[in-house]
Amino acid sequence: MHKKALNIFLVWLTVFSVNTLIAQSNDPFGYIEKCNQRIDSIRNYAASFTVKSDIPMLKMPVVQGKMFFKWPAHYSVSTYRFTVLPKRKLAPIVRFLKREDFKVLSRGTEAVNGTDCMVIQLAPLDTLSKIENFVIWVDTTAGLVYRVLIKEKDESKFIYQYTYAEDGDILPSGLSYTFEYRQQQAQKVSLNPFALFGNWEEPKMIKGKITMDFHYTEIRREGDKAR
Amino acid sequence: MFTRPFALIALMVVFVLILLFGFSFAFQGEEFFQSLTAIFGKGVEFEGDLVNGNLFAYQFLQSTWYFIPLLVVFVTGGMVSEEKSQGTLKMILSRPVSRTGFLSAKFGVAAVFILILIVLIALFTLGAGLLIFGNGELLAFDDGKFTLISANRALLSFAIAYGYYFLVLFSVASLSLLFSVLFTDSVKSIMATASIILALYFISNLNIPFFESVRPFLFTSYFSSWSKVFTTGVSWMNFSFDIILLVVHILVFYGLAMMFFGKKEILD
Repeated sequence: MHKKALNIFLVWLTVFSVNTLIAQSNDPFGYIEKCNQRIDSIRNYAASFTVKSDIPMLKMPVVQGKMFFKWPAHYSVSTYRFTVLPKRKLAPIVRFLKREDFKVLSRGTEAVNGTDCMVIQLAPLDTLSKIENFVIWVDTTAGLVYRVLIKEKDESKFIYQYTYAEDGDILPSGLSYTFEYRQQQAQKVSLNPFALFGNWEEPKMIKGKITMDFHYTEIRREGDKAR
Repeated sequence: MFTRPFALIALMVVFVLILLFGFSFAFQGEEFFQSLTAIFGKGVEFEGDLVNGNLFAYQFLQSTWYFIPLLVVFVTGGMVSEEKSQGTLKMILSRPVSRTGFLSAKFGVAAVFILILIVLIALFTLGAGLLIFGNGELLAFDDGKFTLISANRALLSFAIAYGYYFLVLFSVASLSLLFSVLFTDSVKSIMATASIILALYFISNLNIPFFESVRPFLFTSYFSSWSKVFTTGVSWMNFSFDIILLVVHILVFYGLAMMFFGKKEILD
């Protein structure tokens, strides 16, 4: 009797585990939620950062600044000089994505900076959205987002690629942001009003890259005592 | 010269322009800056404030640099022709005053007027702008590219730009004085100079291949070169060449004015 009960329990445990695994692999958004849970465990942090921009039409020097985060969603940035920052500033993109707003598809796996990641595509259910889809590369083991690609319906692309200094890090040590979008047809920017005639230029792709390095001076997690 | 109404009117016009510009900048400087950087709005966000005295002075210069030479034409266009039409020219030259000395003095007075104009612009745009709107970095643009320069660098750039603009205005004044020597009627002199300046402006800046070979020889093609000093990678060789070209034009106009004035009949 005892042996029979044990056998039944083992079978049930096996079936339950297999079902869980199947369910998980059929729910890619679950990995994103896992990442968000890890990010949400950070209650506040302070970091200094360096910004380097490589935008052909805009020459900017390397700038340093500070950023502060207070849970749940208060981000503030201050720089010592005028500078450019990635669109949507420094808030983690995936944190604000909600399952019910998207059709979720798994696109297999791909390595990013030597780390195997699951590729998850999110297509907005709102047909009026200007975004065509999000593609997110997630390290399912560590629960970290390594890359986010935002593609818009007008062929604009925005790529956020994160690097992490050490195993166990939740916050990225670096961000490489590249963008590409088509300029609206406009006159060439010119000082000269007499250059109005014949100076219309073909809309061109505006491309650029911003690289940021972060150095965290204070991180307080959920459960840590406030100083 | 400053008893002539045109000179005082020109200075007043510039002063009123600066005031109007200042008011609009005070209330809409932020909107202006956003419209300037709208091209990048889709890809990046800006952090920091660039609405300051440097931007005010730069934007004023950028908005009016092509128009102030015409004011100079109105002021200097009648400097010699009016003396002839009023009969004072023969009285002056009947005294021991050489023609060369007389005309050189006219050029000198024109230079002083332009210097006062430049100082007025610098004082009330850059000086007052820094006091009212504060100091800071400047986002300058030239040839479709934006460059961020530091506050100290902006100050140096303004000093060089105002100096170059003096040469621009003096070259226009020199041409104007040349026509003032050629014509007896001030109106004709002013109209001739203004028409030529406007025509050369269009040829210098119209994007038509037919005029491509002519443009380097027109002194109006170098009128906007002051903007080059607001970039980080200034080609000082090219900028020096532009300065030399303007100086050469001034000397040519001065030489021609001397030549025609030396032969001019003043008794009729």
